[in-house]
Amino acid sequence: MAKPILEIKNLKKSYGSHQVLRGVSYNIEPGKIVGLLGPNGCGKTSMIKSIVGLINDYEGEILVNGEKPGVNSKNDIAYLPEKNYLPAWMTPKAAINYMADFYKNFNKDKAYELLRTFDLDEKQKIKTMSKGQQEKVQLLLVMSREAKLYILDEPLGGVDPVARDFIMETIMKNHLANSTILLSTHLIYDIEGILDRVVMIKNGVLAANTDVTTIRNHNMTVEALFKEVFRYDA
Amino acid sequence: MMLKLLKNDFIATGRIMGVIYVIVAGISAGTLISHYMKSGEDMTVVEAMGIALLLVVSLCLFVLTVVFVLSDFQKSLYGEQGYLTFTLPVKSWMILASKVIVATVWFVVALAALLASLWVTVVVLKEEILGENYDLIMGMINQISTVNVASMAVSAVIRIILYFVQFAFFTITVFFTSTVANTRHFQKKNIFWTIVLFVPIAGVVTKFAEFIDSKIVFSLFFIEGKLSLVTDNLEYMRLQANGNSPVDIASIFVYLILGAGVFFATHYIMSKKVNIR
Repeated sequence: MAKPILEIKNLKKSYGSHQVLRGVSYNIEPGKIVGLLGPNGCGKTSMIKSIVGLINDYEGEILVNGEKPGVNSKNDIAYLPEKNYLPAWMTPKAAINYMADFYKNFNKDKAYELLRTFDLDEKQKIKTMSKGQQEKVQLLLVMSREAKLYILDEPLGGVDPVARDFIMETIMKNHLANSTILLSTHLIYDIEGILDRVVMIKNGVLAANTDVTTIRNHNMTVEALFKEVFRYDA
Repeated sequence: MMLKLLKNDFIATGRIMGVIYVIVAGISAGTLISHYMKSGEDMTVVEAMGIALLLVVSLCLFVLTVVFVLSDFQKSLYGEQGYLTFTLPVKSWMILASKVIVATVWFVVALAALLASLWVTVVVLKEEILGENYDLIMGMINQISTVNVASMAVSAVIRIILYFVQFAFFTITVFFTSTVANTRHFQKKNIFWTIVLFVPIAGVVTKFAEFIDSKIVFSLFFIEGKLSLVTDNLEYMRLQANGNSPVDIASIFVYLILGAGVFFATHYIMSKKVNIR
């Protein structure tokens, strides 16, 4: 069995008295496409922020490619957050140069290729772009990384179905072969076909961690399992 | 990586601060050109407006620098841009160090711009404002020139280092306050709390620095045109009472050590206690 690219051991995170993660443990093997699923507020984003190094005051252990979150793990992870993180004054060209400065595995040629595919002007300032264009810039910056682990937090949130297809196509075409994708979403229907595994978080605990093949062998879909796990109890 | 952080921080801040200094340089150049090109003795409208503008802009430079440096720190670390900054494959202390160095450089540039604009003002207004004092000032300058040049250079370098260290100390104190204001209890109104907390925090650290500084006497004085090291408190007080201005070497170390302490405290809170929203 290959060494896990991501190991989460008994992860707990609280905001004051509110505990959002209550001891979650799971591993992700390399080369898999994993859906991190759960309703809003279940702790998905807190977990992701802990993995990428934006949250440090958690309990438990996180190992990325065998190492605690730090300089090496940040080089291994390409992270797409929900938020628009680019400064308003930046242009796509400046953003590409910025990423190329810091990440050894950033492929500038690929970034410019995606810029053309997305029909974006390399000299247009972020602040003058539409929300969709800004999201495309962030997506191209992430997918131009030759990373070991891509972590995409709600990449399909707030976009129309056509754009969702386009985003999924871009991710599938451009991620490095043998790399791992951890994709957080609550829009299961759009990603069901590409997932190898699903991890479901409910009220801060692990509710499911299973192969999609196993789900299908039980004559179920991921969406059906999701509805069963998260159904409202009468 | 540190050089890359510095480069990118200078690019990010330079697009605003750079423009301000280009404006200051432009006004200074325009005023000086107008002064040297005029035919009569009377002050021209361009000179008068130039001087007025220069003084206003120069006096505002420090406030502008503080506001801009703080705003950049808040946005790029604890705002949404923090998602970019804190996921870079660099050590977190480097991110903080780069911000401190860049901000300190801008404060030093602000001081240099203020001094330059005062020089332009003196050049243009020497007859109007200096009048009969002109000879007195020239006499003082001649007196200074009798001082040993090497001693003056040493004194100037030490003073520049001291100003740089003090600006860095001020900067890290501002950043420490902003970082505290971004911990969970204050985060919702972080700007408000940065302003409110700055006065007591800056007050305490500055008073502490001054207290330590006052206990250590290790200063240079110009005595008979040459630099002499004074370590005796009574001698220090006697020379100061005679109007002799000291070059406090001890202050450099005091502010450096305390600044390092505030830096590590800021880094600890930043990396352990702040959750990026």
